[in-house]
Amino acid sequence: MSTNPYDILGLGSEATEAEIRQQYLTLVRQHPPDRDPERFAAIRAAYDQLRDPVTSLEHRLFDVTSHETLESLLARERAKSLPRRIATDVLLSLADE
Amino acid sequence: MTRKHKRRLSGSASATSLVDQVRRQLSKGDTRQAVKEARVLFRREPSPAHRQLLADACLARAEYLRRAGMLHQAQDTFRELLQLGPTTPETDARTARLRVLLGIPDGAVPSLADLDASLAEQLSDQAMVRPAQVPAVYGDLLAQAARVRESLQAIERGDDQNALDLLQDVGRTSPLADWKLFARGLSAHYAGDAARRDSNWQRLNPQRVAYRIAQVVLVHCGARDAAAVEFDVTRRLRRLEYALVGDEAHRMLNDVAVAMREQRTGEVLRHFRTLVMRHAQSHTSLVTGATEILWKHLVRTGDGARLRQLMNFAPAPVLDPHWHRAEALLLEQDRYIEMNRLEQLWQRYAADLTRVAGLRDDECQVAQALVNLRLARHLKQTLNDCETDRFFGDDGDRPRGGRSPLRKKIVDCYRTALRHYPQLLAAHDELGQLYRDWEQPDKAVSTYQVLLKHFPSHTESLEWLARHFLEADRPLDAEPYIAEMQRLRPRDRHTQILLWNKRLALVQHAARKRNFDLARRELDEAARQPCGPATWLDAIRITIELKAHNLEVAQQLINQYLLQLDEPAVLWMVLESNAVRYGIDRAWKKEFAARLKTALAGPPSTAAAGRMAEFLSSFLQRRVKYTGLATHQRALRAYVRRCQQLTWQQRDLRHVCQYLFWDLDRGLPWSWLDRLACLGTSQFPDNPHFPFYAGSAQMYRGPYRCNIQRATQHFDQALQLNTHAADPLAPELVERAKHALTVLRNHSSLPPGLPFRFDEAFDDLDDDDDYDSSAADLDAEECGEYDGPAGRGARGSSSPAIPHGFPPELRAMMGELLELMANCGAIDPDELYERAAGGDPSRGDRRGSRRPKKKKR
Repeated sequence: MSTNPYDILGLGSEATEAEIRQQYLTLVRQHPPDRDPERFAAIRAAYDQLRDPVTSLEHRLFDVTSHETLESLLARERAKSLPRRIATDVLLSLADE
Repeated sequence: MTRKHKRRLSGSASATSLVDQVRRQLSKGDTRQAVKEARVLFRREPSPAHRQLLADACLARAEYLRRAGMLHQAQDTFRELLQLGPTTPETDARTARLRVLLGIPDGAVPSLADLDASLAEQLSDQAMVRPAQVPAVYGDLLAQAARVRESLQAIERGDDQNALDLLQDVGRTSPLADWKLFARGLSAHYAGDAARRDSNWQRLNPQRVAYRIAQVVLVHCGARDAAAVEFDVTRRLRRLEYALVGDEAHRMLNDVAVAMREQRTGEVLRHFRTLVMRHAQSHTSLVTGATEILWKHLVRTGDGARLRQLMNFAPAPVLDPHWHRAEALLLEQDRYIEMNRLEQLWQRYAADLTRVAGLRDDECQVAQALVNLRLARHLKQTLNDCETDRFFGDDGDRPRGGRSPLRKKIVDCYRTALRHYPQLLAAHDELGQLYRDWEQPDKAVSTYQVLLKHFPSHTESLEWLARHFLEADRPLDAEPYIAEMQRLRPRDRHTQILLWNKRLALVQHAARKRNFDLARRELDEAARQPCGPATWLDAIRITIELKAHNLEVAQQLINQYLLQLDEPAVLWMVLESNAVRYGIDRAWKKEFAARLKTALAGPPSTAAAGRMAEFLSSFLQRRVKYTGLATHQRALRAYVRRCQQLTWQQRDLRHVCQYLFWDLDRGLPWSWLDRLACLGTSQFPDNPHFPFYAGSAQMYRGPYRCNIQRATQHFDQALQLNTHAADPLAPELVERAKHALTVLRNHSSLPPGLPFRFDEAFDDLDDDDDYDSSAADLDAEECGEYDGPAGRGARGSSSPAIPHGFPPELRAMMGELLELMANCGAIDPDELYERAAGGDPSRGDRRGSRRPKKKKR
């Protein structure tokens, strides 16, 4: 398993503080300490690392071991493009075969 | 119609076979051909059956054309159907339905309420998708559909609230109710509320157009698998992707991803270049993200050529506007780093970081500090390599001209880092450690004091400062640090030891100042929480009384303690050292020395050896000296030699091994430590100290005799045992073990016989220059007398040094040959090496060619 805190939290290295916190809370809800103590500890440690501005910046500047792939980037970009509003004409044209 | 087809129709084909063929074509959905052949058939033989067949074909064709949005063609076909006149009731019903849908007026058009539900739904779908095809008579439906469309357009604009307001008029029973659900679901979809979206869209009628559109949107966003949809979504999906701007960029990025997965790096860059050229402006985040992944991948794989290609066309990363960081990180991957180039790149990158779009101003300062810290670490590593690994590689890129310029650079980098960000703990800490390693305690003290200003609770610094001042015999200076340690960690073992040491230092301080009451009080306090052997305190008590000229009390105490001790040698040794350190009469010193000599001459005892070793180790480890230390060392060595055949207790054996380990720097034969440490390893397999000392003994055997595999095993075992040991290794020893393992692993891959001085593995951690420079403090006989073959004072014949620049391919052979020759006494290896390297044999300033020191006396 990766030791990169961004990988542990499932975030890209450009994630903001708010996104990091949001993701941390989501993961903690999924892996509470009483049910999944090891995973919780890893998540907590990763969050603590990213909360420290120096460690966080060090990762952003020098870490080339990020396990983000082009596939994950593509999926993220697609997910980002989803909220883009589809033109009504385009939408209604989908009725035709 | 093709000629072949016409021939077949007009010629040989029978009417029955043609009827079958038309039916087959209708069932296959080939309505165009079916209509043509049905027409031919009807012209040839206008029977009712053929008319019915033509009517069915025209109906199917008109429906198909309507569904495909080809309204005029559908209407033409439908008119042809009407010309046929009424046929069967079933066909007439379908015709009436289609008439409504195609908007062909035929007198009285039924009202919406009169239409059956499915037709009304179909008509309302049409009113939504193609309102022009709906007869004007259905004005209410058209108006309502226009509102729903308006609602969809409001959603498109992002005005969801208005959109939902527009849908309020659409009732649940309205044929447009499905579109209301669709619009609500779409609004939820854009809001990212998947649950609300699904609750609306799951209620859609699968026969309706809204359902089909919803399915396409779901498949596109990945919420539904295309294979799970009841109809083929491929074409619709493609249409949607084309309509969305990002389709091409995504497809191209997918091509890049596929090429990368298949490790076709050239193709990766080619595809990516096209993507960048076309979409760098419109898809900034996509291109930036992909660039980030690609440059990191190329740096990881060390592919410099392709990284440079990427730099030529891709936009520079936000945090690296001139690609200096990528180049520097790539350079760091090299085994032999071009330090000058690396330094240049990191310095340029630090300059780039003065203002970077992706960082706040305060972050820019931290980033610059981190870059300088990284550079400092690299320079430090280079310095370590120069000192510990100097036989390997070409040193062309390594700093020449001694250590000072490199040391200055390192310090400058740390200081620059701290100037940018004074709270950078790692920089303070590492700089302090460097000064300690370089034996510049004053600078280390000031560094740690600055550190404590920013991090007042940094216990490691507090502890080191306290220990430093205690060892420097400045207990009053140590006082505030110990007090802070006590406040922070009152129950910590290190704090207790510091307190105890402080009390002993105060005892000595007070005794020297002849303040005996204070000395006794402090000694009593120290005795309450002993952190060392009781004999040491007893000896101090006796020393204080002797210093105070209370001879009777002192004699009584000596008699009392002698009764308690089974072996008095350690007491006399401690008393003799105290006589010097506390400054009592020389007569007493001589007296204690004589008694020690007598005690040592008696039958040997491993317990006495262990206690004496423990006492002397405390001095050697801290590099604290007293006049007579060397004599004591010599005496102990002789005593240990006599104890070798005896049975050892674990504690005594550990102390003796510890003493021999520290004493090896003085030229003691490694075989003693090796033998005793191996004995300890076999008898006490859970103790991590013995494998550590056994590994160290191997290291001291020199390059040709060291069993690398065995030494590695010993150190590995020591570190493994240390994790759960009751008596763990000191942190300093753990560091030594790790360092030794690194050196052993680095060299285990080299050809056998390569010249290498293993004792240099400890050079940067433990330098004995202070012993050399302060030889006046030692007994004169000590210098040189114990310089054994693997000793540091005498360059061992087994570890000759080959200068830099000597052809690497010949080093292995030369090393072996020279060792043999030097062992036989046939040649002076220094001279030969110098000649081979084209140097001046008389210079002799290399560390490896140091001559044994001359005896002073």
